[in-house]
Amino acid sequence: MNAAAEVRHLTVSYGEKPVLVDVSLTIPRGSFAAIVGPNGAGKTTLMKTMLGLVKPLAGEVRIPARGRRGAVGYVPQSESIDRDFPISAYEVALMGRYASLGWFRRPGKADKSAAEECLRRVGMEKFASRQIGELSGGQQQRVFLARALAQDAEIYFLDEPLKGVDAVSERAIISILRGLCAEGKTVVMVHHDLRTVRDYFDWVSIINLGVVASGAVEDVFCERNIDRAYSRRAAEAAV
Amino acid sequence: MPAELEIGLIAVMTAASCAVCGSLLLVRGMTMTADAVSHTILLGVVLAYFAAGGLDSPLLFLGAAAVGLVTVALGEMLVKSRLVSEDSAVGVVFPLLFALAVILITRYASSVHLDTDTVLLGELAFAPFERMTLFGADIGAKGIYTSAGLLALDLLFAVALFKELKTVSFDRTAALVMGFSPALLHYLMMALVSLTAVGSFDTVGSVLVVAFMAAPAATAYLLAESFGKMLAAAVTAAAASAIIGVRAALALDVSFAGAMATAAGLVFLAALIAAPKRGLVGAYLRRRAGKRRR
Amino acid sequence: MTAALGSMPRLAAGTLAALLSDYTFRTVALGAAIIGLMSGVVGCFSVLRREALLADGASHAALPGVVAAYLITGSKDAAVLLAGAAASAVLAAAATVLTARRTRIKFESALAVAMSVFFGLGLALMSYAQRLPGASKAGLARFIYGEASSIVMRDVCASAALALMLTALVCVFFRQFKLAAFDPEYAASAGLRSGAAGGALTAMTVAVTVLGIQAVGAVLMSALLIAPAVAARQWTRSLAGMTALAAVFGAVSGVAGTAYSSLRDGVPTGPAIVVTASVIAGVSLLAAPGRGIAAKLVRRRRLRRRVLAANVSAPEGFDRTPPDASTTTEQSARPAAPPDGEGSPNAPQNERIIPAAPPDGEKHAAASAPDEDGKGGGSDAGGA
Repeated sequence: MNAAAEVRHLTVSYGEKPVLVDVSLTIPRGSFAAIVGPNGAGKTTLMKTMLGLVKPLAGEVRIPARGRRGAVGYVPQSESIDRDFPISAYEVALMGRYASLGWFRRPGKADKSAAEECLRRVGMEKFASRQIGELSGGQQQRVFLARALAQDAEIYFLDEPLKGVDAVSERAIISILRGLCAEGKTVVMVHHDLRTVRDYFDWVSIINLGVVASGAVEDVFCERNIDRAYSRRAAEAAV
Repeated sequence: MPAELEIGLIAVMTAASCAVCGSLLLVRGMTMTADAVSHTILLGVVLAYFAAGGLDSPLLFLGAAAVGLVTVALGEMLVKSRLVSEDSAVGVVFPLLFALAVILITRYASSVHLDTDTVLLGELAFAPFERMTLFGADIGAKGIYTSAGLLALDLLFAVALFKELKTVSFDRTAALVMGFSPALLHYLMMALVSLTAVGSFDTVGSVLVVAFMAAPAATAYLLAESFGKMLAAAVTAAAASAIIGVRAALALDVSFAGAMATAAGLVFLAALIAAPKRGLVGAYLRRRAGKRRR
Repeated sequence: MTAALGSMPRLAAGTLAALLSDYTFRTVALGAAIIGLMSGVVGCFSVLRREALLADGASHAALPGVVAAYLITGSKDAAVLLAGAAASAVLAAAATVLTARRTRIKFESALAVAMSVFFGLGLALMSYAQRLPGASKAGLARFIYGEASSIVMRDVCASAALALMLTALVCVFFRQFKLAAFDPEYAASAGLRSGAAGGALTAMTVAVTVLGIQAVGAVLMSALLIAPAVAARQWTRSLAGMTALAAVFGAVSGVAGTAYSSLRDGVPTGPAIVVTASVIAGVSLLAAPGRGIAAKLVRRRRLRRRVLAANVSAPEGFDRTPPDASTTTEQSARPAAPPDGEGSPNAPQNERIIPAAPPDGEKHAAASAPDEDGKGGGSDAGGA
């Protein structure tokens, strides 16, 4: 199997509190992969560690694309963004081109038209000059998606991009991500809505502190595994 | 060049370079760091003074920049330990370094020309007395050259690293993933803030360095919709405040630095009330309109 | 500094005895102790409310009030000047809070603007006042660096009265203050007026700050509020314990700093007090049991060794049980009743997965509303 990302025996702790314990999983190239698990399961930490933002206590992460500048794309959780920052939707999209430019070089005409094109692809061209805080949550996520598109990465990481997003934006985002996978790119996404896993993704990693199950959706996304991750009590409490 | 013009020129250039630094700090929510750094550079100045034996050495800049970085690093260490919140960390570190500086000065350097007042308060009125000479010819006040050099450095930094600074301030993680080291940029920025603060202290004083780092940037933040425009607006607001301040100080015969800071405050107040989208009046009207629609 | 520290052991007990019998020293030390005590108590709440830097702002912003009070009344009486100081500090604090609440500018940026501009205004006023007969420049230095040696018995009595009042307030309204410090939202929902308690705490911070300026000066006043509180936090988990301990640390810093500066020539009192308080804080941060940096480093190293030793399988010390279900929220609470995963047709499966009514259905609808009319969230962006 041609892996776009591989995690081996990863253990991460904040202080003395273990957040991830002995996590091993593989994400094949070209897959649309979800990371699911209950709150506090370590989904975001896993993603951050894969991106190299958190140093693990033990274990390793292998992402072959990391060798090339800008080959790893990232879409933040919308809450982590400063909505008041003086920046327009267009500027955010243009930011995607910065990675391949490297230090000091400024974006040229080609970069600018690429950014505009990416805004069009997410249906946000009309809002190009809007300050980011003036957009709704879904629109913001689409702008960040445009940035990721502009970056032209090989593997994309998205941290709950659908949180607080309206139905229209959600559909738009998913169809664009699917398009990326069809081009042979890999998309890894922290996801919280179990109802849509089967519809959206072809690969899923169910985690809770450790890996409960990881593999093709049809193979591993079953009641038993989900129950194991979310614990009986949570499932019973909801019924 | 007449003294008043020299004073005005120094005032404008100093204010503008502070405004550039201040804008970079404000968008990252770090304006109070300017306050901390502008105080602790006193320790750097004192140490460099002991090392060089005078106030005319480039060591002064190095020492001040180094202590500025130490202030920031110590504060971050405390925050990282998760024992202290960010604001408390600043509040613990900078008074300690400042207190050490004051003790060193009063105990070992009180007899010499190193007055804590000149560092803290500065005196623009004396700036024209310190002349720069080239081959024996007077080529203008020294302050003009220092402040011009600083302004050039600040502008160069902000322009050359514009996209990197914008990225790291807006989305630190994205910057890291794209390969622009946030830590490197952060410390470069802090070094620049320290340099600007030390370069400005003998004209406007370190307390008012804070005023010029905070007020014009905040004014611009209320007006601008993009980062580039914000930088431009901050520099403009700073220059305007400096000119108004110097004029007022001359007319009323009061402290230049004080009048300049007050002017910067008034310019900010005007924007605070009347900024088209973000001002108090605009926000109030929108809130009322929103209520009525419902 | 090293020379000074090296000569410390030479201080014989005799000198200390002589010091204690000195009336001026006793007065100043007592005054510094009381101010340290009050700062410790009030500082705990400022630190927990993330308002620690407010003290720094308030102390700088007091300057124009002092000068204006002098210009208006022509009096140099401490009470008059203090009243002016308090008035302008409160004004600056109010401006800061208003700006932070009503515009996109964040609290600390607003604070930096308010304090530095007020200070600048104070400087301008002062340069004006100095041209009047009878004024002197000494006042400014005193404002910035403090002049503990100028503390007289009357000041001690006044601050003791204020200290008693503040302590009584804190004791009586401890529960309200605690809520305001930790969880203002919960306090509001429990029907407690946390706004009033929060306002009272802010006012107390400003009052103590203004009073402390005489002892340690405007620039260093914030340390006297923050350092004892930060130090105390490392040793205890209860707010009551923290407050008491911070009071002790503050008072000890006041006395020790005064003593050190009286024994060493040319060491100003204010900075000496602040250095003492900072050293206490530093030691607490490093060495406090359990929470301290040293203890944490040791534990993390041990953990790492254990993990590396266990390598492949999960190390034993870890608790593999998932987080308590009662703490998880809507997402995990959703019924996760998926199909068996065996080739049954798609549509009925989905029906089984989707719960009857998503718990956050309304929220989703509300979030999508502005998007669909194409205007985005623009209407709320400015008002926030």
